This record gives sequence, structure tokens and C-alpha cells, in this order.
Amino acid sequence: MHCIVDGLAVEYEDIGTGKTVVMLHGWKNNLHTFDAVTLQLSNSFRVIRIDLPGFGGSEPPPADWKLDDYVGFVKDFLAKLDIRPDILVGHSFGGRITIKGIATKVLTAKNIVLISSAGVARRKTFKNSILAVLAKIGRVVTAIPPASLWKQEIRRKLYEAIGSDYFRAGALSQTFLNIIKEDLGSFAKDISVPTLIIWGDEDDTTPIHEGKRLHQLIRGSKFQVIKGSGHFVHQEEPSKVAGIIREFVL
Amino acid sequence: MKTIAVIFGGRSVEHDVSIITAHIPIIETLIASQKFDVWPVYIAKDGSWYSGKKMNELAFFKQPDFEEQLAREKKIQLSFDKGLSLVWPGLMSKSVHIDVVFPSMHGTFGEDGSLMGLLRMAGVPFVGCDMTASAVAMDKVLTKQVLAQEGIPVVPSAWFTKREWLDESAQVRGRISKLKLPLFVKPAHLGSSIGITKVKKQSELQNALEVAIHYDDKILVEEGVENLIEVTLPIMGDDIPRAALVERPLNRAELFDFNGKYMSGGKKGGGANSAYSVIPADIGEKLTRHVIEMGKKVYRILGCSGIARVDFLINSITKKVYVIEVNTMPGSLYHHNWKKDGVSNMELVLGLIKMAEDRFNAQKSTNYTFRSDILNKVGGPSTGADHGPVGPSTGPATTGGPKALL
Repeated sequence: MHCIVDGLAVEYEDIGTGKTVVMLHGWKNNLHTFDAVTLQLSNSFRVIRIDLPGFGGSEPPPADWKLDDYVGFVKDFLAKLDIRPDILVGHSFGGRITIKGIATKVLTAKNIVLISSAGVARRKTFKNSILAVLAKIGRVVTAIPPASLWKQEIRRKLYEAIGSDYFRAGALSQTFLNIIKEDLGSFAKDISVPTLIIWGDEDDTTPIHEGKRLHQLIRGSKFQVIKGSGHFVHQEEPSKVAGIIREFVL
Repeated sequence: MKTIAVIFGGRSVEHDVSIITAHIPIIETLIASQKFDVWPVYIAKDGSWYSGKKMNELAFFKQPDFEEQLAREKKIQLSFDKGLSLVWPGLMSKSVHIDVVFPSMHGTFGEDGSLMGLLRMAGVPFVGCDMTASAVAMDKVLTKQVLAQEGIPVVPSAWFTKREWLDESAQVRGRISKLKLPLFVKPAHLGSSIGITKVKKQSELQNALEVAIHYDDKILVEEGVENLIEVTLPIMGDDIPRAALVERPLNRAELFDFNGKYMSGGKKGGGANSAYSVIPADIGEKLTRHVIEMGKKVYRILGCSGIARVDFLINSITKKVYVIEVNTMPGSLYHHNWKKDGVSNMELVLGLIKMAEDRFNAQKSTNYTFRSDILNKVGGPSTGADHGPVGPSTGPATTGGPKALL
């Protein structure tokens, strides 16, 4: 179903009754990433999933957004639907929104669940800064002939070599750069609500050492590792993930 | 070999669906026929026009950076000199004369008659419904008004404009309150079920109205039908319409929304609407006949030609049939349905082109101009040429004007 938030048509799903769980998906993903885990939880929770602006069935941001804009958007969405989440769940990029939103108290929830969350990769942040610089240099250099003739090829090769989502971000590429340059380590330290961290030990997008760092940064957090799973642990092991969440909050 | 332009994309929420329809089945069939020099014409979301043979491949539009690639290309212009030509301006200018156009547009600025008006001005044959039928069918409110006037059953409804909603919301709510729940709130001009919300309780109405107003400035609120069966019927032809098979989509949970219509197929190469339908619909022979008769009548009333699809709601207990809307460019031409009715993609696509050319030739025999001496009778200075001297003695030269001539 749809609603209008901050002038954008937004798709969301609202299913089940009970304590309210709000789920935020990752980059280049949509609310359906949580389909299987929602199926497990909706018999005892009200589960609300949202397509973040620019993804799934929601309209793209009207300008290049920063992480704070996404945080503000989630706040406005929750206000619009008069939802006070008991549990806020964020996967990957959705984890970034959760960390920043809860730490700055723009968002509130009684508990948070971070699944393979992005935002605390020291090494990656350095790499992402380099990427941002390269993107700027690349744009200038490839505007000048003869490099301009091979602009697309140069960019494609460069970003493929770096292994970045930047090239694939299309219209959201500047938004992507804005988001990845923020290290959320200092914000994670400010989180004081009960936090569950779920990670797959074979995650190669946000490797497990990032989960460990997050666990160290968030006081009193619970760290659950699911063996044999990758970055989309909630899709690979929906029953286990739902069980861990249920046990954590009930 | 004839030159054909397939026009798709456009400033519409159904932009992406239009790209699919253009390629599956239109362009792939045209190329396979080896009878046409096929020029894909892509209208970007910002309204820019592009053309190039690489766009004959659907894969081109699957590239994440295809919009950036196009932004570096030369935009095309249109020339209406002796028909339609695509023109690449500049130093190395080039032009291609187009013999026939296959519009593959869904929604606003395309399917709504805008493109048909442009092509009529250009004087080029084009496939599908003409301007008037397209414009009326694109407006769900107008469609209902025209059909109701002709005795076709439509569900009770109310409509209002965005301005009325903003200025007189109490009055608008009063009109809506006369309708029975559940309601369907719809943007009047959008297809593919975009912006449509089912309202089961009054508290859901406000959000539904906000969503519809986000997409359109004219809103239709309709009563739902109890014991609902939804069916759809593709029809083609001009004066003698031919119906395909009555089709019953099965993937309607709460509402047959955009995802239900286009995203749930998952069948490679199937185009839009390729799965989750019962064809022919399991509604019995009598009801099937009734739907087909009513569909053909609707096709004729709206003045459809080429191809269209009529959507129906049926109360399965009372067997009452309502027409809900008419779509003048069915997604992927509903080729999956035609195929089941024994019409191959080749027969469908080439048949529609033949109809377009026949209609164009028939229109040539209609006289659209009329020779009169009205200009010489109107007041003001005259050249005095051709029609002899014009002065006070031959008309109201100083005080009359057009009104006096009537």
C-alpha cells in the first residue's frame, strides 16, 4: 500500500498484530528482503516494512540525500502513520539509518536489531573516501577530450575495479557517496537502547569484524552469529533470525 | 522495405512498462518479419526524444547507466514535411522518413491521445486507437459518463478535482459518503492501477485521497462490487471488432496493483501480464457471451480502432456485469491472450499495421477542408485579389465582423 510522506509516494506493508516491528532494508533492495522473516514474525507482531525513497515502489528523493535525510524521512513516515516502534530493525544501509536515528534520538524505539549493518567499517570508510575523491577526479578528467570519448568505459572499469555500488547506483550515485562517507562509530557509542546484532559469519559485504566492532561500540549489545550465512542472513535463515528476534524482545 | 517507428517511454508513470511493450512483442516481431526497417524512438522521462538502432534491444534499457549514455546522444527532432521524418540535426545531419508509426505508449503524454494528435498533424498512419478514443478512455470519469449515457452498466461513483478537494473538501466528502464501503479511490488518468487504494473503513479514506491526488488532479471514487470476479477482454479491429478470449487474472489479492500486473510474472520474455491468469475465464458460457457482447459494444461506443482492452467487474452471485475501464494500449498487446486464441505475434503485429494503413487511406477520402469566401466578407482591409472587389456593397465591411456574417 501507499502513503504520501514529505511529498513522496511511499510503498509499505503493514501486517499482523502485537508489538510493532519496523523494518528498514539495505541499499538497492526493497521491503521484500524481509518477506520470509515477516512471515515468521507476523503471527505475534505487527510488522511494518517500508520501501525507502529511491528503492522498490517508493519515489526517489527529489535531490541528493544524505543519511540524515533518510533518518528524517523515516521519522516523518512513522509520524504520518502514528507508529511508535517497539523494535526497529535495520539491514545493511537500513542499519545505518537505525544507528544514526537512534543515537541522535530523531528516531525512537524500545529495542533495535541491526542485521549485517553498514556504517562502522574503518577500512571501508577510508576506501569510500578514496572512492569519493576518485569519483570527483574522474568526472573532471573524463570531461576533457580525448578522455571524454571513453568516459563510460573509464568509469565502468574504475568502479568495477573498486567493486563499488556507486556505478550501479544510477540517479542515486551522489546520494550513495554522501551516505558511505559517514563513519557511524561515534554514533554507535551513543546508543543506549537494548540492541541485538545479527551477523552471518560468511558475510563478505560487511565482514564479521565490522559486527564485532559494532558489538564493542554499543554498550550491552547482544551479538548473534549465524554460521554459514552471508550478508543476507535474514533471507538465508529466516526462521533462525525470527527466533533470535522473538527471544530478544519477548 | 517500409520504415516503421516504434515510439515508447514517455512522461508517464508507466514509462518502464511501455519499454517492455515496445520490445515484447512489437520490435522483436517487426525485426523477425524482415519486412520493416525498424526505428525505435524513445521518449525519456524528461520528454527528450532519442532514436538509434541499439535501442531495438531491450538489454540497452537494462543497463544502469542507459540514461547517462542517452544524455550524450543527439536528440532527434520531427519534421512534418510530406509526412513524418526523424531528424538528427547538426553538422552531420541525417533524416529518416517514416512510413508508419507503432505507438507503444502507456499513460499520460502518449496513450492519452497526445501522441495520436501529433501523428495526425504529421499525416502519418499509426497503429491503435485514434486521438478521441484514446483521450476519452484515458479519463476514467469521462469513460464512465459516456458509457452510462449509452446504457452500459457502471458502478456507482463520485468524482472531483484537486481544486475542489482543496477548496470544498466537506462538500466532496459529502458526495463520497453516499457511496457504500469498500471504496476504490483512483487517479482519473492513470493506468496500471498506480495510485489506486482500496478503502475498507472511513479512517483509511484520507490517506487514499492523498495518494490519488499525488498522482492526478482529477479523482474517481467507486464502490466495490460484492462477490467479485474481475475479467478483461482484449479486442482488435476497426468497424468489425474481434474479441480475444475472456481472461480472469488470479493474482488480485486486495487490488490488482502495478506489481500484480507487471511484476509477478517472472516468466522470461513473457512481457507484461504473462502469468497468473485463467484463459478463457471460468465464468460459464452465458456470462462469457455477455462479456464479449458488452465489450464489443463498449469498443464501438468509444470509437476504438486497432486494439483495446475492456475491463469488467462481475458480481458472481447476481451475474451483474459492470464495465470498469478501457485501456487503449494493452500491456504487451496482451499477446499471451491472442496467442491462446490462435493469433500469433506476427499476425497480431502485422495485422495491426495493416489496420493502421487502411484507416489512414480511408481518412484520405474524407474531405477535411472547405472552400469559402468568409475571409473576404469579414471587415478590414482586403487585397481585392482572387474574389473580386470587396467593399461596403458586398458585406458588413466596417461594422459587421464574423457574427454579422452568420
